[in-house]
Amino acid sequence: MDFLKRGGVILVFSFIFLGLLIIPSASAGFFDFITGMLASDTTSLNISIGNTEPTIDYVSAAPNNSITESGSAVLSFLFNVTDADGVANINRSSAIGSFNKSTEATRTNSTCLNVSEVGNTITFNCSISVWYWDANGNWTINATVKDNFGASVQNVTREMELLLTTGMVMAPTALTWATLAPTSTDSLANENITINNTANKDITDGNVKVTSVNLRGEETETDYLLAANFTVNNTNTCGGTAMVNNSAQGVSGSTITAGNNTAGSGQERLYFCLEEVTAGILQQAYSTVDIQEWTVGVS
Amino acid sequence: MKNKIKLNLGLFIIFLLIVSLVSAFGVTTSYWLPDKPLILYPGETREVSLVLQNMVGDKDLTLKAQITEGSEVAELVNPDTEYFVPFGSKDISVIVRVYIPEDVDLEEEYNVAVTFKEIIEQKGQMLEMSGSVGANIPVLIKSYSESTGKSPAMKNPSLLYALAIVIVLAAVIVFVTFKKKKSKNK
Repeated sequence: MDFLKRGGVILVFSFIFLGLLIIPSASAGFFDFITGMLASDTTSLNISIGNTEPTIDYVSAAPNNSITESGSAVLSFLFNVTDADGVANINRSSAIGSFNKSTEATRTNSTCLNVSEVGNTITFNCSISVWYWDANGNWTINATVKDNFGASVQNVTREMELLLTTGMVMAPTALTWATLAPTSTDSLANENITINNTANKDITDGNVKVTSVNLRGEETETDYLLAANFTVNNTNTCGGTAMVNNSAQGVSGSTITAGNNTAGSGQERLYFCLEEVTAGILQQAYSTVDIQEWTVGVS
Repeated sequence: MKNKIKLNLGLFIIFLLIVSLVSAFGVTTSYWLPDKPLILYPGETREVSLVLQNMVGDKDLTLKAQITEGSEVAELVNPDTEYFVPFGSKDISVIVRVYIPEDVDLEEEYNVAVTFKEIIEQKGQMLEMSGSVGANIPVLIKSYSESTGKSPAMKNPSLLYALAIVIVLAAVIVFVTFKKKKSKNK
């Protein structure tokens, strides 16, 4: 009896196994042959031909980098793509490299160059331009590639650090005033100075500084037009920040956020005003000639 | 017309704008707030680098460096504080030595500010301007282990090795002495 029971169990499992073999992926019904209702039917079959996705198993270290003032700096990195199906299966024109940082525009090169092939591995070189207003800090390096079947793979394990640079360009180099009388007040200079932020540091309020010195009489050198009589403003009016002889004074309200100068960002204008002529000084020319010039600085 | 005395203040110069670019230079620092201060421990000295660049315009520049803040803990290593920065260069290094006293409080913060001013040749104009840019090195004081990730005992490894050798030697001497005494007693 035991023998029979065991045989029965084996038989049942054999049927189940057979059933599993017959049913599999075809969508035709198992009992179709019983009904005999259909002479033909459409059957869809999914047939997979083995494709191994490529892998990016190496992205080169990106050393500390700095922007180039008022321009772009080209930063490069290498990455290795390996495909078990052979390098012929790697889509060479699909290699893309990018630098990503939240709140910043992504910098991309979609034509990374194939620089070497060894075995199943291709090494790509990606050169990406970063602009002078791109923020300092860590940027994620994103390396992406596809194979010829469209399978895409990316690696975002590496970071690139962009350092903090302070830079500026200013023009013009000198200021002039119209003819002044001893009683003249609120006399704005004929020129204003334009400052472009040419790097990636945001210049915050108080960090646009002007260092002034007393203007000396060119004939009577003991007479001075005092620096304290001048003010500097970021609007085209007098009444700005008062200057102090030989001391750097932050121009109140003046800020220069890093930005694309060509697009009108990252710029500031400074207006210089002689509030009043120093009392009791002689009629003559006063200037910085042969003494220290004034300084406009950002930090 | 007494009040109409001309001061020539503006007359002597009708230099219409010479719109030449000045102060077209930059300085790069590896440290900033809040993410990346220079972390030092009490008693530590570190040399850090600021890098000058002159990539705009067409002229070589000479810049004068000056520590304008934090001079109690920092100095310029090069006694010559004037730096020649040729046009097209972005790799002129300025080394700043930062030294922290032993008795400073942990979590103390310093800011080392270095200003670079362009040295210009005066052209005899009324009010001439030069430009300057500044870089900051924020310094934060931490304990040795926090600043280096190593335990205080590892501060001077050679001292540790010396101590270990002394202990081993002492043990050997004690052992030998003990042995000798034992053999004498026998």
